[in-house]
Amino acid sequence: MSDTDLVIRTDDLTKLYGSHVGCEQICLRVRRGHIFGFLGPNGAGKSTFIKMMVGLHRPTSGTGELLGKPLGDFGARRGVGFLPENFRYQDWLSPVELLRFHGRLLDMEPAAVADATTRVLADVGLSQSADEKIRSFSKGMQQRFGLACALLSDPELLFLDEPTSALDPLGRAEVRQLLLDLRERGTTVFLNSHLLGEVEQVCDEVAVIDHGRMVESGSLADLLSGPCEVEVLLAEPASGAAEAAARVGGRLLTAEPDLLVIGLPDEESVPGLVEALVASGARIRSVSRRKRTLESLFLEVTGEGRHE
Amino acid sequence: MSRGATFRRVAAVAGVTLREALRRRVILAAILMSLGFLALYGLGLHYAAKSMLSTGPAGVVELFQREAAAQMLYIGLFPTSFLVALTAVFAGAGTLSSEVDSGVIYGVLSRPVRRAELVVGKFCGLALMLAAYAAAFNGAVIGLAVWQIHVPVTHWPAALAMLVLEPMPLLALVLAGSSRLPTLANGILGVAFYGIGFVGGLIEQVGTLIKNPTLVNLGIISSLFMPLTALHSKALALLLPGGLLFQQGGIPGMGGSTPSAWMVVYAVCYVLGLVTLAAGVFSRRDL
Repeated sequence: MSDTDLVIRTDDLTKLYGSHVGCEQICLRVRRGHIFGFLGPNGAGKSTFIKMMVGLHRPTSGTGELLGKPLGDFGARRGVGFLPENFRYQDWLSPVELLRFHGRLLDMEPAAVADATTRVLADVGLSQSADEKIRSFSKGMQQRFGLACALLSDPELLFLDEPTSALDPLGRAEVRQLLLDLRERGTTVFLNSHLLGEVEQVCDEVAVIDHGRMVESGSLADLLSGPCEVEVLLAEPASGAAEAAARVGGRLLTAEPDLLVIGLPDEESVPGLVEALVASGARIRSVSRRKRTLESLFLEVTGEGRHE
Repeated sequence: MSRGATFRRVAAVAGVTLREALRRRVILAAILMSLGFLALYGLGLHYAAKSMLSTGPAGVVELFQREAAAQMLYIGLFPTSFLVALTAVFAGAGTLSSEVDSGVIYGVLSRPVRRAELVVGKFCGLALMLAAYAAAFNGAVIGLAVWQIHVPVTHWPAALAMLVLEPMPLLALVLAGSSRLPTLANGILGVAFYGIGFVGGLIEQVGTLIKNPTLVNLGIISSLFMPLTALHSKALALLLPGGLLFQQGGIPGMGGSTPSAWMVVYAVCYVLGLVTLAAGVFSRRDL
């Protein structure tokens, strides 16, 4: 992966608040044009990391680059959009007025601001409410507006901190589609969300952070493929399952009267396993590969599953 | 980044800050109280004007009338100073801290905006609002006094400029406080500093009356902490340079001697220094 492909690069990025760890030694690479999911339990350090990215917090140590420029670089923020978790805006203004203000902060021409305002309000479904006071909006509408505001400058990199927390299922589906459309247009999205199902539907890559440290990262496909495990549903209890599994290089993980879970070296070993089980006298009802979900991965790497 | 772009961002922040300040209830309350005071003051001047038509030796009557009129103007400008100062504290105490608490600041500072630009923009917006308020309120008091009791004022544009400048040190102080302190603590700090300036003026006045240089110096030192009262005294000295009561220190908190032009220079440096401090502190803060 060449440096020009990267929109975010951090090396040992650390933020300490006295003795309390915000983030510790985060090494991250985010590629251009991807949707990157950033996951972690409450208080894991996700928002701290995003705040360092957008210049609200200064790192204690480590280095980082945003859009090829050092962290904190004033100019890099021109290409960045940000929807904070606790989004609040000058709610006594209307969307058009507030976007005009943000356009001026971005040093955009008035005509460009007007065009962008029309576009982003349409993108989030708020065209009809363009002149109402933001104060009168529901929380979901305010979150949609926050997204519109983050999109105003057509950013190369979009940081979204829990962007759908206030939305109903329909709103969430619309935002998911919007994120996919943005990816099509080449925008990189850095998505911090607790909604693992949502992350699983849209993200190309994910990283999991726990107690300030990164505990897992990689492409979603690789992470979810994991080890090959098959579930074998039996018509009656079988006695030689462990030997049959060993014959194809596998290992019996779970043995119940009507269910076996067997770990295999790869998917190619499945037909051999079935033959070996049948030869040992097992009567098989069905064989299926166990699917790893993002939730199970999350619980595994953060240790949350151990409490259950 | 060009200077023009910096100016446009500062102007954008100032514009929103001004609009936000104008819609706050504290400003509405200040305007209503000011109108109430102006009505009362105008009525007082009307009846004072009638009673000032006394008889006696021509020179004595003229002297008495001039001093009584000057006294009435001093009285009128004292509550304006107080109200404008309180408005500066209430409008400015939460200008940064409340936006940090609410999270409004995140949306703004994730833009290509330097924190110093935000601080300067905030100051300019609030200063503009206070300047308009101070000019209108003080101008109305002076106008009423001239119209009703014919106070012989001089250098009124320069005096009005001093009165407009008067709340700015307090505004700069609470802005600097707002870069670090919570809103309530900062408001208390602002009122306390106003008190220091006020009491300092009183001490200086007593020191002048009893010719005690230590007290006079204490008053001057307090003016260095909060030059607001000194600016008020300077404005009165410009308006009524020969005012007998002024020379004797007739009104509490107005200072016992005429502040020099250097005090005005100091006040301007005080404002610039505190705005710079606010920008520096706020720029280093994690939000």
